[in-house]
Amino acid sequence: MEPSGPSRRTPGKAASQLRKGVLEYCVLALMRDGPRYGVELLRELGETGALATSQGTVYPLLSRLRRDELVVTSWRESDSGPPRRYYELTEAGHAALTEFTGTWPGFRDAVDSLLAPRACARRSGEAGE
Amino acid sequence: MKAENAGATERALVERYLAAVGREASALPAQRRQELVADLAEHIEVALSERPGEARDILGELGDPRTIATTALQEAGSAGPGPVAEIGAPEPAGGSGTGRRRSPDWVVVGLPVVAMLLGILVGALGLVLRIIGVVVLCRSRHWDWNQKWVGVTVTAFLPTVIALGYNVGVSADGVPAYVPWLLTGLMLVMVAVGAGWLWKVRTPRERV
Repeated sequence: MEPSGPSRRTPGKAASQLRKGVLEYCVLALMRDGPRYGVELLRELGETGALATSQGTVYPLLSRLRRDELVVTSWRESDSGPPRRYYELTEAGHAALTEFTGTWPGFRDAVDSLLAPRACARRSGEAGE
Repeated sequence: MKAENAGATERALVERYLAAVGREASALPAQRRQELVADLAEHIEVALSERPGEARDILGELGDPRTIATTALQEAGSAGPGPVAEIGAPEPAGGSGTGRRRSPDWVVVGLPVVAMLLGILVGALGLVLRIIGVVVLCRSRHWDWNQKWVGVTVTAFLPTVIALGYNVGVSADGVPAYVPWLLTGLMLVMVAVGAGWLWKVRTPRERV
């Protein structure tokens, strides 16, 4: 794996499948410390690189999170420009995020240990550092 | 908007884009489609206010309308069986965006108790409140359907049956004087216990 511009690359099937599974928790995680508005959420998601996707596809996800009552939204005035719709975790959203946060390390380690060549078990993930 | 010409071009671009999303998403239920387009329109408006004149880039980052529509269709397919939230008008009206307003949990729990107490004084008023209480409970998101059934049965249905039974049975003579009091007391306890139980098992939600 080369660390070159993951945001440009059209993601392969594996990446796309993976992203589908974790994206919603990454979005929830971005709201953990407080309400965020859509543009802000997408900007931060984009900056992480790994989740590269066309930004617009996150809105259907946000809409489902809203329907599932993991997030609520509220309008706030802005100093500049139009009011922003802020997304905020509900209790259920916090619970879902906590659950995922607990599950993820074990899952990641299990996959890592299966993927890594026996001898240098921990190198592959750290190639870019 | 000051730069009239550039603004007009950008608006046209944005409108074409949103129309394309609407077209591609035509398989979605109308409400969902409108919501999607409104979300994207909102995003574009906010992004444009932060990066004036960059409509083309902003639309490029949002991505291909077809991809977005496909994602929306997949999300719609994976959504739970819950009621579809009613989508308000797209203008920022200060609403929560999660659908119609529902009564807070304390109202739902309080109504049957008030209905019971008022019902002792004015029977018809109690009955009306009790019906409202049932409707409000059934619409609430603080309880699942099993809990709602128990709640409706204990706080509304059984007391109503008892009251009706008594009122019908009263025409038969020979009912001892303590019976109405006993029944009223029983109904009060039943409603109070039911309401207390509902309060205990409710699922708290923020800003429902």
